[in-house]
Amino acid sequence: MLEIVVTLVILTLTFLPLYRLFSYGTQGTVSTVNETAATSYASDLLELVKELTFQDLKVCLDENPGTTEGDFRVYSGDDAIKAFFQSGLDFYEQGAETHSINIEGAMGHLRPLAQLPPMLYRQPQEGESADELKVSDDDFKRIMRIKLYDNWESSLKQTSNPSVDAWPEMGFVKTAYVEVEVQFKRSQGGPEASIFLSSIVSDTL
Amino acid sequence: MTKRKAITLTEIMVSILVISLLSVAVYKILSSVFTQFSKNTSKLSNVRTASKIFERLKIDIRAAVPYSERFASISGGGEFYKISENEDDPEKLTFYTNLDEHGYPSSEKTAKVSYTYEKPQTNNKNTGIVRRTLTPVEFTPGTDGALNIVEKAGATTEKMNELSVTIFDIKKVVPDGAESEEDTIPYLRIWLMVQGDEGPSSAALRAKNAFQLSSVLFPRFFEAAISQEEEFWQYKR
Repeated sequence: MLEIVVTLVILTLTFLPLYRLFSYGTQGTVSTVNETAATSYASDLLELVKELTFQDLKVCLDENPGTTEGDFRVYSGDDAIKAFFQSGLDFYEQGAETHSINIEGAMGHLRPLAQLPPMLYRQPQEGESADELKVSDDDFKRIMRIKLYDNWESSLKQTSNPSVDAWPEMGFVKTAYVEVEVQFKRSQGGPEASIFLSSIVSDTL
Repeated sequence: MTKRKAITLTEIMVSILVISLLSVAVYKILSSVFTQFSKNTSKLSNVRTASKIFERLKIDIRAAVPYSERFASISGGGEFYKISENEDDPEKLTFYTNLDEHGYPSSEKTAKVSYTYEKPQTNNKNTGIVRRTLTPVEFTPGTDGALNIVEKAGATTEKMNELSVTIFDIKKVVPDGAESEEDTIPYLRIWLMVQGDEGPSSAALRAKNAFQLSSVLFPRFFEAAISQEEEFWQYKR
């Protein structure tokens, strides 16, 4: 009888790695799902930010400094990102009457960003509120980092991107580097990971 | 009396019991592994299908021809862009974009892109389909610097998905607080959900496996989306 019990225990232990393999497979799928959703979010946000000019970004940064990490200003979470754009919009709205430059275009671009719809798990059905379906920062942490360059020459040195060297030296004098990171937490079921997308915003003066 | 070697009934019963227990364990493990594999594969297929449609849509929209007052008339009538929020209207989105006949971004060629969507019907696998029609167009000069848009021959229609798309929803959104459309830049909010017919046998599991993507885009075909500077260069070209 003892032999039988020992055999059973050994066999059970042999099957345990199979369960482990199976959980790795699931994590891979969850990771792909997360990456696809996060990349879509980050690329949309960057495309919207690229519509702004360097000056618009600078106004937002002056009004809402966020937190500082090295040379970067950091806005962590959906609400902080929206508040960043809202502060620029508030500034333009308050100074709309006294401003000598045409700020209608800037306000037109900032307003949708300040009201950017939240990331949702799925489309709300009838009678459902979008707030219930909001993707929490605990699951997908959205972080925007911005770095301003005073002139194109310094941005050339800092980016050390070989393709940038081929660009003409004149033209781009004020440049901002914008980076969006989305972190997935373990509560999503997959491994902890994150995606980065970045872009350059520049004014042609 | 000689003692013969034999297996007792008890031993046989215990062996059968052990084999049964092992068989049940192996069956459970294999069954859950195969079910999970099937679920994962079908989920990834849904993700790939949604991504493929979204990527194509984003490329088309980002290469959209910016609005200009120079576009005086369009052959056969029609609007410079069309977004239909009516669920029963199959033509969801139509606009002009700087793409060549193969669908690659081009600075010289222009095409009209039209996305149509056929809603899914129960027990009909050929529904829930998004189709993209690319029609080459040409801008021909009119009077006083105006441009006429003339459609050329060679329109192609591509079926975008094999798996059933259950939601394909495109809405033009004017942000709150704007006094009018001219006061702000409207944006497009797109929802797409793919729920394949294949994969887990249970409908409830398939529904759980559905994958949704949403996107917010600023298309250049909205009149308010183009700055005076862009309008100037558009005119110069």
